[in-house]
Amino acid sequence: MISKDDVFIQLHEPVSVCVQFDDRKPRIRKLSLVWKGEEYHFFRINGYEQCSVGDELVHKLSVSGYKKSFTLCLHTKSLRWFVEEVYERYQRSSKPQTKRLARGLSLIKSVYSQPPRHGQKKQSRR
Amino acid sequence: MSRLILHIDMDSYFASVEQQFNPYLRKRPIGVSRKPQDRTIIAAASKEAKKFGLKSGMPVWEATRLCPELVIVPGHPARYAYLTGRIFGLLKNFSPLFEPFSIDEGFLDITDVASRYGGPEEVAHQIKSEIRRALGEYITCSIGVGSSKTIAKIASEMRKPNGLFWIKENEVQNWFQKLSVETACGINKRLKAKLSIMDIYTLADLGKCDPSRLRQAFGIWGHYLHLIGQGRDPLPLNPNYKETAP
Repeated sequence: MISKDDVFIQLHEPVSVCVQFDDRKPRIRKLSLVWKGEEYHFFRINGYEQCSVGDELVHKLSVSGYKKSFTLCLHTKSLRWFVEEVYERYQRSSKPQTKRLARGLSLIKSVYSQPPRHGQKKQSRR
Repeated sequence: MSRLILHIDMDSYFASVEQQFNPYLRKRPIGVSRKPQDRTIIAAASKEAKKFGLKSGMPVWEATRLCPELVIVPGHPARYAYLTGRIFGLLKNFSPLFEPFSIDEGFLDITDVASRYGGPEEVAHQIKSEIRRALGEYITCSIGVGSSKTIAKIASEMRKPNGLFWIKENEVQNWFQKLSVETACGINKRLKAKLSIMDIYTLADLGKCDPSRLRQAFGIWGHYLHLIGQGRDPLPLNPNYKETAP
């Protein structure tokens, strides 16, 4: 992937997946996974596809959470979940923007940290 | 009674599938390629990338020069094939007379079923909502309605992306007087140059031209060209069409 902000990894590693299906609608209510010791919760299932590997049917789900997107596949014969793709986006921080932001934040802090003047208080009460 | 043909064309198909499956790629210029190397080409560019002048088949080095923020995404052929199967299945629910034209487009004959839905535009709207519901909100299509495959394809090209346009039978000649010969499917730049030597510039000129003159210049293809110029199909819709390996 040609972009400094994106990291895209293709792999085939087993993962622990927890899926909760909805009984009212044909959809998945919750999906979380544990990969490399970290737990990820997903709020969106973006796409679904199925393919066959030999005589085994494989369901593929593309899910996304905070800053990361995964492609998971469920092998129906072995009933194992694998992670196939991991996508992560980094936000590039530019120096002038952070400087300006820091200046703005310090200005806001200074305004709010100032104790209110007595004269002003009285005027506002009147 | 004239026939009612729909041409359904998916907008930036491979790229919009990638953007649907990965929301972090949405609203960004992306190009789908096999490998992100300079020597490869871009198989599909997203709607955002097309604004920079990117086209399908453009080399990666040229695309990145035009759009430095371009994100090259590896393609998923199996995913596209599966989704195409689903789209074609959905279209066959509307009418069994469906002819696939490529991986992301096809023709649907709705002459007998249009009245059931309340007209061809209603059918087109329902197709769009069905595709959105089944595949996701980011995968859109443009639909053209016409009395032949040629006219339907021209109509779908006129309202892109996510458009709907109907060229009615009594408006065909008016449109053909405005449209260049190149807008018709099968007429490329070289053929356009050859036709311009014969004083044929618009599709209406093509229809009015003596068929024997065209046949003399282009052989059997000249006969087809004359039919295209008259808004008729050189090859009618074939629902049993199946691509066979050579």
